[in-house]
Formats: sequence, structure tokens, C-alpha cells
Amino acid sequence: MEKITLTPVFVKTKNVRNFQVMMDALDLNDEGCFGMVFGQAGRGKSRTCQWYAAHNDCVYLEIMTVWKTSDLDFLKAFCRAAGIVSPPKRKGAAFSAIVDKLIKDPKPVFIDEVEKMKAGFIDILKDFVGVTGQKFILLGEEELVAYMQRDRRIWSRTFQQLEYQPIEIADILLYAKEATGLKLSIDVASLVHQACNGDWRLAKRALLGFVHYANTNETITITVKVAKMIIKESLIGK
Amino acid sequence: METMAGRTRAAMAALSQESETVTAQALAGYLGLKTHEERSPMYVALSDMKSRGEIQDAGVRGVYRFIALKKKPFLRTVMWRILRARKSVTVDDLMELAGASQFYAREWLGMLVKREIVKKMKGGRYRLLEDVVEEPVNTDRSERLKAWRKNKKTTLAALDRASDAIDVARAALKNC
Repeated sequence: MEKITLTPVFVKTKNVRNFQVMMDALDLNDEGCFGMVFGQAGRGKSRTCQWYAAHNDCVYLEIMTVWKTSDLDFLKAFCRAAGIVSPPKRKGAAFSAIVDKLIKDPKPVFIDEVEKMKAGFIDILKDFVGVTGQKFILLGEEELVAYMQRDRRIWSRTFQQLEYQPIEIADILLYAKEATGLKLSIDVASLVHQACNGDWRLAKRALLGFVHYANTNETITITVKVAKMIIKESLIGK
Repeated sequence: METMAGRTRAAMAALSQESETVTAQALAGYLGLKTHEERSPMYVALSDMKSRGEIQDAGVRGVYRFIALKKKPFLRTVMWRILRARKSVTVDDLMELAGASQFYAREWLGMLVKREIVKKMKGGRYRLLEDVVEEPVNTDRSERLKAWRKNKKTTLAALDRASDAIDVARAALKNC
């Protein structure tokens, strides 16, 4: 029997498709605006944005906690992410450099884990949106909604919002088929779905367990009994 | 020298800014093509553009609507953007997010390690040491390809010479 492997593939789940629709909708706007993507950790928000940004020439920046006390550090990192080779060493100059770059070479900007920054930080982003007329898509967990709603001027500029939903049984079936070639039954997929609680990483761990089992036992069938055993071992840890 | 496809595309883009639809006649005029013989490559280019979805028929024969397609980035560019966004990647990450093959992703990361742009960590993870912003070009690969092509050319020339020598020998034997 041919060895089964877990080939890394990017599966266009329902969340990814919704994300693409959101990006298309944002493209219809001529003025600068915010987009917002939020949801629990492990649902694939950042991965989707990295995938989209890499294929569509966008700016992607993940916020670091150490920038909380220094806007300049953030602006310098933003400069580099936007493609400025030597970022200016002063706040104003760094801001202007980014504005010039985004006006000259317009592209959407993704800022990940925005809620890590202090409340006033969003005003800097609002200024960027206003001056450059670009789309800024902010990513974060559920707290992001409250963070954005705090300021009416920010909220009114938030044209699109997307909540990343837990993964569905169909997503697990699709991923298993595309990444491993294993055709899981609905019962097995629903067991994985229940155990992983909407988290992609856990679903992948369970699938890896299935692949190991299939290779060891030279089979392509994962029964409910086997699935329960693997899920118990790899996800619940008992 | 620019190809006819490139010239046609550029002309289409320029004319479509003035009006929504572009006629083949106007296109030929813009490109300075007078005779049917001169226009023939333009029609081929238009047919190719139509099959690629770059232009659409506007309902009337010889009238087209230009659809500017986004140019697909190179795989190495996509991998570079992913590396810059994530700061540390594995071969699997590049395979998943960029759609690269395992061999290509490994080779590309190996080139970056050699240039000390990334460092190989434990567990097959590669960490970006210095964000040079500009995408590094894999000259190793192109040089290797160049050497391979040169080698192929020399080998083929040697084979031709050997074949000629065999023909001469055969002819000489026949005459004996």
C-alpha cells in the first residue's frame, strides 16, 4: 500500500471564502476605510491574511507587545513591512515615509493582534486611513470589537467586519481529502469536530494521528472506534 | 524587442482608457499596421488574449472590451513575502501558504541560509535574521542552469562530431 502523507495544503474553507468576499467588498470603496477580522485563536485568521497578503502584494504587520510603549518602534516596523529599506529615526518622518510609500504604491494593509496596543494607538491608524485612502484590515480576538467601537470616528470608518467561525465538519472532510487523501466518514469527521472545538491546530493533530494509524496498519479506513481512540490519545491526552 | 502580444496588450490598455470598447481597426491604427499581412500577428495575439480572459467580445465582431488582469507573482516572491510576514517559517509553511513544492521550498531556504539571511533552527524551522526588504535573487540556480545548458550544448556538439566521424568511416568502409 502506498504510504499516506499529510501534505501541507491551504484549504479554502468557509471562513477563507468569506474573507475573500470581504476583501472584494472593500475593493469597491474608493475612500480609505477599516476592515475587521476577529475570532478566537486557532481559527486561521492570521494564516488566511498571510496567505492573502503574500499572493496579492499587501502589507502585513503583526503587533509586538514591546511596541506598546513606543509608537516609533511600531512606525519603524511598519516602514520595513511597507518596503522602506532604511526607516527614518523620528516619528513624524517615519509617518510621512509610510504615507508617501502607500500613496505611491497603494496596497491594503493588514495589522494583526491590534488589541495588544494601547487605546490611543488606533488614532495613528485612523490618520493613515484618512491620509493615504488605503484599506486597513485589523485582526484580533473578540476584544477587537470593543476596541474599535470605543471611538465613533473609527467605528464609522469600519466598512466590513468578519467573524471567524469555528471550523465545520465539511472543512474537516475537505482538508482530510486534500491533505491526506483519506476519505473520512461523516461520523469520524464529526468526532474530530466535537473534540477540536473549532480549532484548526487540534483538527490537524487528530488528522496526523489518523495518518500514522493508516500507515502503521496499512489501511485507508478510519473507523469510529479507531477515531475515538486516536482523538483520546492526541487531543484529550489521556 | 517587444513581442506583438506585449505591444497589443499595451495598445489595448491605452485605448481602453479613452473608450469602454476597442475595435480591431483602431488597435491596428494605433500599432501602425496597414496590410492584412502585418495585422495577422495582432489577430493571433488578440485570440490568445481572449482565451486567457484578458479581453472579451463586446457583442459585435471585431470589438473588444479590455479586462486588466493582475499579474501573478513569482513563487519565490510569494515565499519571500511569507517569510517576511511570519519571521520564521518551515518548509511545510511555504508549501501550504505559497503552494511551492517541497524541493523548491527547501532549495530556496538553503540559498537564504547560505547568504546568512535566515538561520536554520531546531525542528526544521528557519528564522529570518535580517529583513533586507528587497527580495534576494537566487543567482545560484540561474548559474547552475546556465552551466547545465552549456554542458548540454558541448555534449550535443561532441555527439554531432562523433556521428559525422561514424558517417565518414562508414563511407570509407563502403568504398573499400
